[in-house]
Amino acid sequence: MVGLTDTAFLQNLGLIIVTAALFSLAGRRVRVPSIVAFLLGGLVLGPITGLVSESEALNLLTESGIVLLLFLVGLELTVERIREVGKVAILAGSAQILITSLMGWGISFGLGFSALQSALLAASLTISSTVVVVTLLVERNESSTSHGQTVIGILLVQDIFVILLLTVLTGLGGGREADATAITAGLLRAFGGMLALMVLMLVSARYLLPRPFSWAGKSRETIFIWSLSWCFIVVTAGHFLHLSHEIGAFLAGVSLAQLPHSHDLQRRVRPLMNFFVAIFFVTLGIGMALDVPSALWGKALVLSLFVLVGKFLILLFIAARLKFDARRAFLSALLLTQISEFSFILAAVAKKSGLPVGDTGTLLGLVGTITITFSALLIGAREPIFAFLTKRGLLRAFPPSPEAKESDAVPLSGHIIVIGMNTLGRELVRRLAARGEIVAAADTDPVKLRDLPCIKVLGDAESPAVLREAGLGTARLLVSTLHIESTNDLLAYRCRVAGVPAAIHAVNLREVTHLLDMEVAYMMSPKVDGIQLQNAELLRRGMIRK
Amino acid sequence: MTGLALLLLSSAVAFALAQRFRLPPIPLLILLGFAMSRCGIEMDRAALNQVIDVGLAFLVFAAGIELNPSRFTGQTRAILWIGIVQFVVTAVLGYFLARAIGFDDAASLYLGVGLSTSSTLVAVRQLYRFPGSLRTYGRLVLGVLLVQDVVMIVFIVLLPRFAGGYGDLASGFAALAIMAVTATVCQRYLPRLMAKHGPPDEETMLLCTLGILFLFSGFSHWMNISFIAGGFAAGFALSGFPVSGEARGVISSLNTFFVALFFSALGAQVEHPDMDTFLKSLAFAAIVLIATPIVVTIFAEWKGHLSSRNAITAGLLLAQTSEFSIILAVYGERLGQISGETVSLIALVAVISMTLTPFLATDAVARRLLHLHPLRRLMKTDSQLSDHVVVLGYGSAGRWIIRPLVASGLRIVVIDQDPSVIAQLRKEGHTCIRGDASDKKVLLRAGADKARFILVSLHQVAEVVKVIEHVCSSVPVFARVFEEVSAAKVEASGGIPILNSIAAADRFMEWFERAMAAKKEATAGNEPAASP
Repeated sequence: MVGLTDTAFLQNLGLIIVTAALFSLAGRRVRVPSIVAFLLGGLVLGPITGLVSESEALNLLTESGIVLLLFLVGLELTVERIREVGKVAILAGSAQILITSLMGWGISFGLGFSALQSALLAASLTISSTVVVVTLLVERNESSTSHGQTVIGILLVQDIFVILLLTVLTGLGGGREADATAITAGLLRAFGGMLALMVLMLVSARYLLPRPFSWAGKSRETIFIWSLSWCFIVVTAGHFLHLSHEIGAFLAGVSLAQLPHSHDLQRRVRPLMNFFVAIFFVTLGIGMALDVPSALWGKALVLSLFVLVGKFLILLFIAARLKFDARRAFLSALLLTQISEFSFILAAVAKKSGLPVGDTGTLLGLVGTITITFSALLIGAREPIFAFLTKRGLLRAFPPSPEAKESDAVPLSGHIIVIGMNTLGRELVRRLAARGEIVAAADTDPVKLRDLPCIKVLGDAESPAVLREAGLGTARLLVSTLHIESTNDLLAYRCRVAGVPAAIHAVNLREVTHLLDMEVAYMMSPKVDGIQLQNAELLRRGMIRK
Repeated sequence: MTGLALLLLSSAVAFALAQRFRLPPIPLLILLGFAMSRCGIEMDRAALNQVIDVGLAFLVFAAGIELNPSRFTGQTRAILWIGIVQFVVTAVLGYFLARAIGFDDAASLYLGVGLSTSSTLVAVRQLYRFPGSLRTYGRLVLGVLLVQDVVMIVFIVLLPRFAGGYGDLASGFAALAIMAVTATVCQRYLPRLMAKHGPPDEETMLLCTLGILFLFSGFSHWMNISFIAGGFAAGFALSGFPVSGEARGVISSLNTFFVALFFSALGAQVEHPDMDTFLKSLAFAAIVLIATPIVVTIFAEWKGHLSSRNAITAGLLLAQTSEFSIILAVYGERLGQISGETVSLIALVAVISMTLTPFLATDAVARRLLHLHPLRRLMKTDSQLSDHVVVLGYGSAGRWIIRPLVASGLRIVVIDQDPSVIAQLRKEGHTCIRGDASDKKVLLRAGADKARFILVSLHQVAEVVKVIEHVCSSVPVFARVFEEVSAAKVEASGGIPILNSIAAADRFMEWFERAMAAKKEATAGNEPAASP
């Protein structure tokens, strides 16, 4: 009887999620990056067992994943940061595109492809995968490091290149001979659109968004839905201007990055993004074709080798010219050694335009699977590789890396975390700070955090990310003044796991079992303390006897 | 993508309106989704259905995570009484009204059951506007909401089987039982697993949480019952402490996202109600708005031992239909058991009753209704009282208040709402009044105007101010409050504020200094350092 409902979509989604969970758990055991685990899971679901096939419905989910990923990246970028890395990224990105595509064309032509097919392959080999790289960066909290931002900048330059390519390819199609005017018009439109959207975003970041968003910030739900809605509206607007979803989402993120809530928003968007991105990679695996002729395997291996080694060397060369330090150069180059899921789209569009592409589509699929898997594995093992290269003196051409300048944040240590800025929380922050302690205060309301002498963390204390930002691992003590019993119990538990003593507000004096179980160091009971203060006051006024 | 952007846009507007006018977002989400579809914005029905499916799964899942029975120990009996009686009474009234209006048997059943659960999302939101409510009637309300949810899940599984006879029903029950047992085993086992291995990182936790959701949904599908039951059971499986906290943390933003989309998409799909449907919905909403508060008030006083005013507030908080009613309706329509018209009727009743909740479930309304209460209990006390001390609000730490008073030879009168507190104090020979401390009549009965001084500890500062006004500043009123803002209000109205928070801060700092000194000593003597 339930058969009346169309449950195919939910079933597929369920299978994908369960597979993703199982493979990522197993992958963690053997230290395989989750991307590879997801891809393998997808291969099992798709080509191997045929349980799930690609469908329109899943497309929306995977596209949303890419959008949220880039939105998140944008959210982390402030205007100063863009100025800092913008120039380098454009230089490095353009040089990389030029060199890689020339060499890629040569190799493909050498492998026996026609000039046109070689051009298509070369373009595809040039582009690295934004989703893979950014997922790897975000997973390791490296998206705001210098190499992280360089790489993201290069990826965005590549993205613009893809849009131009797609414009050209679509212009080539329709059976006409290369219509120069149509292509030029298309290119102009793409550039114009990008410029228009960029200006629009900068103007709104400055004048349009701050006031309404600070009003919406009173409720965490409202501001969360508002920013997601802003993201998808900008993406849609970009779509009408013939821009990719990635660029729209990225710009939407940048325009919100200047708000005081951007940190909290990042934390809230992240789980949503994780969910969609897991689906994205599993679906990618599902779409892979494994039954290909052996001749193609050989070619795929050659091209993959070029991407994994050749592209790495090209990027190192460019980095040396731009005077990157050794670490930044090595990590930036290593991160970009794969081809993008875009390549498949590129091949599909070319085919649709009526170009004689042959089996390049299948070939690119193979190269994609191989390079994405291997680059993820290599990035997982980057520390030993880096140590090896440095020891052998292979990175001598680069200036040495400045020590511990990877992140801007000063690592917190030996500090005290105070959660909940009610009267008690604010009072404790003031007194502890006056005593010379370093205090990190957390609350969901920016107004309550205002003018306190401490490090401020905006966000929900239930979220592990907030506690991480407050430096729970290295804290000396955590104090919760919250009136919410369940959150206090959870905080006590988190402190116990982290081995940090906790002083927790015992909201309900009759129900402190959890706090006792978690062996909190101190239980605050303002009710009892208040009564004693009252008794002292009554005594002082002579209203009661001692 | 455009469709998704539009749904999000309408949700964003709904949340803005909800925040501006302090309304619950659900009815606004439905209304705006509906308005959007009326404006001629066509959306892919298949895509809308997918959004609704995923939203449904998350909605029931989040409800299940809150279902930890250990949170309600001591009140379980009262909660079961109120929940079940309320459910039955409203369902029966709704059924007969529907039959009388001319609905067929199946539609009447859906309408009746659809009326009888209250909305957790709406009630909890309103509950947080009453500071301190969680320590009195709040738990009871939360418990009742969960009982209603469970009953609703049972109905969602069984309703489609009524046509199939007893065999079908029995197999449905069996499937439910298997599901419940599996979930209970997980609920017990998962916290132990987490204690052994430590909490996983967020990405793994997210995937495992969702994996469990979909495993249970798949399991329920395989047993041929609704995936909604599976989603709820999955939530229950994760409800043990501290698993629930971790799970809630990782899915909260997914939940906000999909639930917002769910209601917008639902609104976009609802048929345009005609005048007739609108009038009918008013009649059904009237049942919820009248019957529920009455039934809940009676049983909350009788079985839950709440004071009249708290019982009335609890009743008002529960007087709306639920997101689960809408789930039931959507499900019924998909099964072809009810028409689109019935679905819009149920949705309309939900929109009306949910929108009214923030206006009805307020202190002012509860006070006004208190005058209609036939059994307003006022105990007799000695009217010759004078020069005594009145203690308003005894609570869990009251012993600390009265001990020095009694030791000083003062006569005390305690006013509190909790019958068990009153009974205990009477046993010890103290004069007590059970009732609402901010009620002038109660205060006069306690001789507050002739007292030597008054000690107040109430949850809402407005009540404290009322007390001070009632005794007309002739008697010193000491009021213990937590926030500085409240202290300012007490002071402005002529009372003497005692700040619990500052007292606690003093105590904390004393402890902190002691601990630091101890640590210093310990490190000097090369002993292991004590906390912090």
